[in-house]
Amino acid sequence: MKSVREIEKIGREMPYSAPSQEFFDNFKTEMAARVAAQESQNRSMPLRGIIPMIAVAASLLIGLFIVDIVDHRATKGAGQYLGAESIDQSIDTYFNNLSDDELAYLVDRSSTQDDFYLTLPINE
Amino acid sequence: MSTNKEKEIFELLDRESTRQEGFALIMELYSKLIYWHIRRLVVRHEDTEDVMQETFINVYRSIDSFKKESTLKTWIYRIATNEAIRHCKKRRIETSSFDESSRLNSLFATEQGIDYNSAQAALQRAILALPEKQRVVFNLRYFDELSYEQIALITQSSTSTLKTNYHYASGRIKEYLQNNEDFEL
Repeated sequence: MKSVREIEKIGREMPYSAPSQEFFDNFKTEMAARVAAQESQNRSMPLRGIIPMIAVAASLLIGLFIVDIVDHRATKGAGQYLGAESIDQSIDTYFNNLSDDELAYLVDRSSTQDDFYLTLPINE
Repeated sequence: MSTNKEKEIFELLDRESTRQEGFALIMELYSKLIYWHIRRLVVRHEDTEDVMQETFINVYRSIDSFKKESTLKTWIYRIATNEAIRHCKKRRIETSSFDESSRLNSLFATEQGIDYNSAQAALQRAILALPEKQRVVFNLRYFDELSYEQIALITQSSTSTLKTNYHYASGRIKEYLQNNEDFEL
């Protein structure tokens, strides 16, 4: 172990190999090109600003139109054709209107069918 | 607060016809300083180049909002420092590293063209073992030789906090060199 060195004695030189002057020149050229591209973009900004505005306005209008259609479909469809509650009600009404004989026939038929399937040979 | 060179830059930036020339002058004056400042924080040359690009793009984009409350140099250092720290955080997440000092020291250990037995390499290892804030403050004070007032503007800290940070950093570096390193001066 060597004796303790004061930090100042080490100096400010970096241990990394320094990049060449070419690296800095290329970097400046590349950045200048990017800046020039940005400048020309900024110059065409008025036109570039209008196009997205028109696109946004158009999509808002289309969006409103679609929402209108979907609203109509939802109110008509949900209650009459697709609602689970209305299906339940229909089934209840159907079974309530059956006579005892009809109900007994259906129960009998359903148990016969179960037996029928259960007695089928497995590999047939 | 501006130097004559900075006044010249702002005059060029003010006119649309000479704006690009003004930016070229910024690059001319500060690219090497900023390169080394970033390199000391992110270690790898390739990462330094990426951060440098982000820095100068940010400088270009926000130069119109620069309030001239500090020098242009200090303001660019601030952007570069923020970009370098942001880059390190991103890399730390990508590599799932919990210990930033170990991550940076691993990068340093794989860098090409370093004399690992030199005092300079030992000093870098000691600096990379510091917590982030102390590392930034130490680098700006020791290598870039900036005043505490300038560093305060860059790091948005008080000068008394910075002096404490530098004092602790120096102490830790001396301790690290004493305990871990064996080199010739």
